[in-house]
Amino acid sequence: MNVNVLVVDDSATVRQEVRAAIAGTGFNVIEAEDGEEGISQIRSGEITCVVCDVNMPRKNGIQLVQEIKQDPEYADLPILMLTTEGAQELISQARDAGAIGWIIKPFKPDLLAAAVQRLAQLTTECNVPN
Amino acid sequence: MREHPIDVIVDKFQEAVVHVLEHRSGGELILEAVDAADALRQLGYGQGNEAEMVSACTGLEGHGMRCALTVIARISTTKTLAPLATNELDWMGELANLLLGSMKNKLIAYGMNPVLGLPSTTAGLDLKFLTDVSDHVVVLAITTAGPVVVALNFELGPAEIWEFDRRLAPADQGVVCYF
Repeated sequence: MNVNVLVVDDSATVRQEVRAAIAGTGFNVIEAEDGEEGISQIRSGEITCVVCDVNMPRKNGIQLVQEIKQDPEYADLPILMLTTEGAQELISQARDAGAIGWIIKPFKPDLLAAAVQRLAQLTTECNVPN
Repeated sequence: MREHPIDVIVDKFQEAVVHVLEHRSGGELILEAVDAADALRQLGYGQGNEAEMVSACTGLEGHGMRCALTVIARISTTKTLAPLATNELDWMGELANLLLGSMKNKLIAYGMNPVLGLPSTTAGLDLKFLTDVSDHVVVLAITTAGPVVVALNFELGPAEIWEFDRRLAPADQGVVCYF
């Protein structure tokens, strides 16, 4: 099974650094530069899991999670937030909306890679036929 | 623990600069409080070598406080600090975001939760501060990749003390918190 990781961040540098961090996993990386484009990518492609920033123009990361999790087709999609924000209010909003976890930047590449592998495993387990 | 707000802001600003730039440069750095003119001289401004520089600004607002942060470095420094970056302006914006975001997270334990803005960036030869920074706290960070200048301006509300509450502090940076 191909694993497609969607990285949503308005900084091209961060997207590139996330791509480099998970390069060793062999997963495919797809990029989106804000929440709006991220939602389009999720709905148009076979995304296995998502790494998503919070503060972005057009549509932020919390809004992306809220919108995607309300769609039954993508309700099980694992979404990990990767952001400079550490405010409990925002973390609670993301958790309540259905995100699976939260990392405060700057991130450690090996920990991020391990987290993405865990996310991908969750999706793979969900898709195992009975 | 009860502390004076200005002391807290300056302390957390400097902690954020050290934390973020040490993480980026992969080594220890020297942090010096300087005035704006000294800081720019360290970057090579006005020395006839027309150093190509990049700068980013971002802000925090809310909870009775307002902060503006500016960061300036030579492009050659940014290329070493962020070898994967294909666009120095983009990376500098992210650096400003990381610096002020890190400071903001340190203020959460004092009950402060202002909103972090989106950064704006500029690049050019012999770049200097675009606004008057005479009332800013300016620090010069000597990293293994070269000097980085960070300036912070802030306005605070009438509170005379802030109280530290460890229970409000967010998780450490880089740690994965699963829900």
